[in-house]
Amino acid sequence: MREKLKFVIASALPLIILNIPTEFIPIQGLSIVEHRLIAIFVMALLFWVLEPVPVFATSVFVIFLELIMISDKSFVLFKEAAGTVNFGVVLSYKEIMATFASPIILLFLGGFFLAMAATKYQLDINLARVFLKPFGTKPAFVLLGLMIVTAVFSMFMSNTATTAMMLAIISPVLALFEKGDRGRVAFALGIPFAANIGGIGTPIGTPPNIIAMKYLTGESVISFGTWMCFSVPLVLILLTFAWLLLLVLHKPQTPSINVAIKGKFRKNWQSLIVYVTFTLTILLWLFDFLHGMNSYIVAMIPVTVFSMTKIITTQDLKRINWDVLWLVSGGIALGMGLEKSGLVGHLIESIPFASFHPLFILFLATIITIIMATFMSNTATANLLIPIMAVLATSLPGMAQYGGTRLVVLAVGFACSLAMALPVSTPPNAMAHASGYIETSEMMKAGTIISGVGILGVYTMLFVLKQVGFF
Amino acid sequence: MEKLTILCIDDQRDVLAALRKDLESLNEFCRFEFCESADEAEEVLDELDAEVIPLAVIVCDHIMPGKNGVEFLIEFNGDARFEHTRKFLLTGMATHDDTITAINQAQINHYIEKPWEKEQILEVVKILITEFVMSVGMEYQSYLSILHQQTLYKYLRT
Amino acid sequence: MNKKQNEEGLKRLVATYFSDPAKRLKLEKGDVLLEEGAVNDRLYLVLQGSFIANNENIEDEQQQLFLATKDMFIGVISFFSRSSICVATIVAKEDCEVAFIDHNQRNKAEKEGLSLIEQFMPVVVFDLFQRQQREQQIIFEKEHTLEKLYQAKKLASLGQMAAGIAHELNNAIAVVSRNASWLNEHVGEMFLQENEEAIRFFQMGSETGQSLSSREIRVQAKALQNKYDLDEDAARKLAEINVPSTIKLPPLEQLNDFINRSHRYWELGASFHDLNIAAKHASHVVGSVKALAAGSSGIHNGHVSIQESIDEALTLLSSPLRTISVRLKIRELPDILANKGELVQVWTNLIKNAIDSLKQSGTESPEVYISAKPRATYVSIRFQDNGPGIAKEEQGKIFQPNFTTKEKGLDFGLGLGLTICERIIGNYGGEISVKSRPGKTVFKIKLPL
Ligand SMILES: Nc1ncnc2c1ncn2[C@@H]1O[C@H](COP(=O)(O)OP(=O)(O)OP(=O)(O)O)[C@@H](O)[C@H]1O
Ligand SMILES: [Mg+2]
Repeated sequence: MREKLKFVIASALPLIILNIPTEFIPIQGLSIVEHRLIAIFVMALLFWVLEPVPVFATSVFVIFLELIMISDKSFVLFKEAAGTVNFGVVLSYKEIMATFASPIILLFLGGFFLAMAATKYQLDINLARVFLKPFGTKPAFVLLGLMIVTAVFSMFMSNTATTAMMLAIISPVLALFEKGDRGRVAFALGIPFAANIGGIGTPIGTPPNIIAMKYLTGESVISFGTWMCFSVPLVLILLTFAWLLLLVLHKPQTPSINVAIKGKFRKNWQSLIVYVTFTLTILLWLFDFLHGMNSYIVAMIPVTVFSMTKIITTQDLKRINWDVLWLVSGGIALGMGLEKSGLVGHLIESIPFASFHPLFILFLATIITIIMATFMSNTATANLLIPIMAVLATSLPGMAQYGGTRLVVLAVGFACSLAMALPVSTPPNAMAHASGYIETSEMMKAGTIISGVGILGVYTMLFVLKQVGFF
Repeated sequence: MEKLTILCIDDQRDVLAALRKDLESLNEFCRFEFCESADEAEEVLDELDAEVIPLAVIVCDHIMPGKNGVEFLIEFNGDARFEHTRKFLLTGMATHDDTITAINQAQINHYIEKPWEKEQILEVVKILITEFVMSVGMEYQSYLSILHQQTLYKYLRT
Repeated sequence: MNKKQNEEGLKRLVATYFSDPAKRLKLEKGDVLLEEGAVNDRLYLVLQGSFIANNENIEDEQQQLFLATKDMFIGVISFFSRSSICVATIVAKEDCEVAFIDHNQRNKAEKEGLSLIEQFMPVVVFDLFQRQQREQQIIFEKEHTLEKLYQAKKLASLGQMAAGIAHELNNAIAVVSRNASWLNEHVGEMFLQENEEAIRFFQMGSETGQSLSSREIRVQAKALQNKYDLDEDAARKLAEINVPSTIKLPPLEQLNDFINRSHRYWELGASFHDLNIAAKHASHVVGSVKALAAGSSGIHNGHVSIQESIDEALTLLSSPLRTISVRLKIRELPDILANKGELVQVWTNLIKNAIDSLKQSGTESPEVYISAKPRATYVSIRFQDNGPGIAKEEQGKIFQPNFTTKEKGLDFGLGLGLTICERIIGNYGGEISVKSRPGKTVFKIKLPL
């Protein structure tokens, strides 16, 4: 019932926008194509916010609408006005469709292959066991260990899968806690928070990063290694802060905790291939300046090796999270439309951005991002905001001196991952909340603080980057 | 979100009523069908199939007049329309042989002897719902609060 | 060596060595042929009758050492082993005749060079072999008996255990059922003070419970769903309550609320109803198990008047019998040796079955007719009712445990009633039989005097 209502609302408003005459829209020099794109954008926004259909479906819908409404091979009805003065620039259908296989998508696919192979051969669990050992049995340190392991894993695996794995490890332990022990909350919150924060660590850590990467091209390009150079320290700082915060808010009372993980490193040749490929891929990503292959090409190494060695089989391939890839594709297609049609340019022209201080705009952008990401999918937020912000960064005269595209895209990209105040903010949050150990209010309190401090952290990082002359 | 159906079969009305009370907390996400015999259940199955209502779990008694629970579940197990539905035998008395048949031929997913405890049966049903949702490939997020967490983690890890 | 060869050998030996009339003895029952520890230099052949061997320290008759019958030898060991000392006392079991030889016996071998021992060897060995076989047979039988004894003991302790469990369970059941009815009363009272509507639905629930079948509810719910545009859950609840047409439903916008509230009250009442029924069910089960265990005891502990025991059964059942006419025709009967409790149990089961049948079928002018007559060696007692009777194909099964046609509701059955009757009557050496057609069902019992 409510789903239907949402669907109706999310469809009606774009339809209305589509049907008002172009002249009525208060944007200077708006073309018909841009007009249609506004409708598509509003549709995407509403569908991603209200989620009457899964988020990936909205992406597919965006691509479809672009193809039939504003591509060079669009449906006849939409071509009627073609040739008139203000019809505008249409998009190449090939380019729209190519978003399904853009290098960015393949980079992410490489990450999926690594994660799948690691899980299949129990590399993840075994690493977790080894990494957790040095942290002993004192609850505070066990928590730190768990959070670090979670963060590190979520840099290469999906945040959801990492959270699932780590919650599975600690749930039996949490069940043993005494009734009144608040420490349980610390653990149940620590894992999803660490997964969210850890996602920032690499370009493939979470989809918003990938989308950010997409806009960091040309002179603003950032390599895999460079990304990690500044984001890993940020992750570590935020992680430490989150750890301390959780200890202050929910101090564990049990004197000791024993996280027992069963297993041994596997030693058959497939496992060895997995270990070697895993290490090699990461090294090649980090040192791309040495060998000349960019990260997209390196990403094809695990894909190829695991396919050739039957480590990832036909059946495994079916379990790839295609929805995530398509969600990103839709975002890329939407961004492409906004950019190529010139809509963003026109939009920016009609809003007096120039009269604001560039840093104020940056601040505003991050705040909007974090608020949106708190209530809806982080990736969808990135899909909607990053393309706009990327164009804004180049077109605002004052922005270049502070760091231009890199500054803005990174700030917004990171802000997407920092939203963790509610169960709906991220899948890891939702999962931890469903475990039943935490109240929404507890998540809200700690999550909001971490979001706030996280944003400050991002600003600081950007400031430091500026100081060292990165921008 | 589409409600998941739980079908309970027991020849005793009071047992069905007790089951309903214990499973009441799932009301927001599940709808229930109650049947007093295997034959009646078969009619309901046809209806569910015709209306394309997802049947997540069958909770079935063993000793019933007419077709007994294990016989019914064996037949049901071969029913391609409900290949993902989880089967749960809840019985006051089943011999060792019955139980073995139920496991081998009906491939039941769970077995509990009466009398049951509320927590116990809720947990089992939640596990089975989770398995159903994940194996069918439904959007698990909408059912998150009634899913069995440990079971969910297993599915989400990969 | 087979039996036939042996018989020939034996015949030859008898002809050559045991045909001397002077070397024969006649014994009477109880006479001792050989005494344990005494000297013996004879080898006896049993011509007629039989002997048993007693070992001093074995008294049990079962444990007799061996039994020598016609054509068997006695004194083999003392004769051939040259110790000449008897190992057992041999006593005649009946009047017997034996022939013997002694160590002075002349060798009458047909072939030259065969010693006496060599001639006797095959026959004696066969004899020993037979004895060993018999021994084994006895051991086997003994074990068998032991096993039976063990089974009997197990049954007895099972009975004891059942009685123990029954006792414990009854206590628990009593608590459940007493508290259920107490709560039923008082919860109702409290509601009554506060809310008239609540008490009505509560009472509906507690009086009838869930009276509709799941199928009826489904059909009903669908109809209601269409009629009032309710959601599925509310429609089902309304169908379950089965609101009588006298109660007016509130207008649509309040309907959902009304249904949820009333259903809760109704459900509360229905829970008590179910609790009470379940407690009754449980105590009936316990009663039957107890009776089954006791039924196998077979203890007759006194002279019982059949008339009295039937009266007692009728008193026990007086409340369900209120709407049924009972005709009695009991002639002067001798008392019989029995356990009164058990007899009452039998009569109650039979009368209860008749009542169940009459009530379930709703037979017009229901009647139970009980008659008893003495015969030469037994008493015959008949229980007759004018209910619909038992289907032909079921008549063979009704005495089996677990066979019942009462599977639901208040008058559920375990199918143990008649099983118990048959056991008890069987223990008294009596018989129970059934004849049934619609309108006339007769259970006939014969008890030996
Ligand atoms: N007088 C009767 N008239 C009709 N049917 C009868 C009569 N007596 C017995 N039966 C049939 O025989 C069946 C077996 O009777 P039995 O007394 O062994 O068990 P029960 O009455 O069903 O259960 P319970 O163990 O509670 O006595 C009954 O279920 C009924 O169908
Ligand atoms: Mg009976």
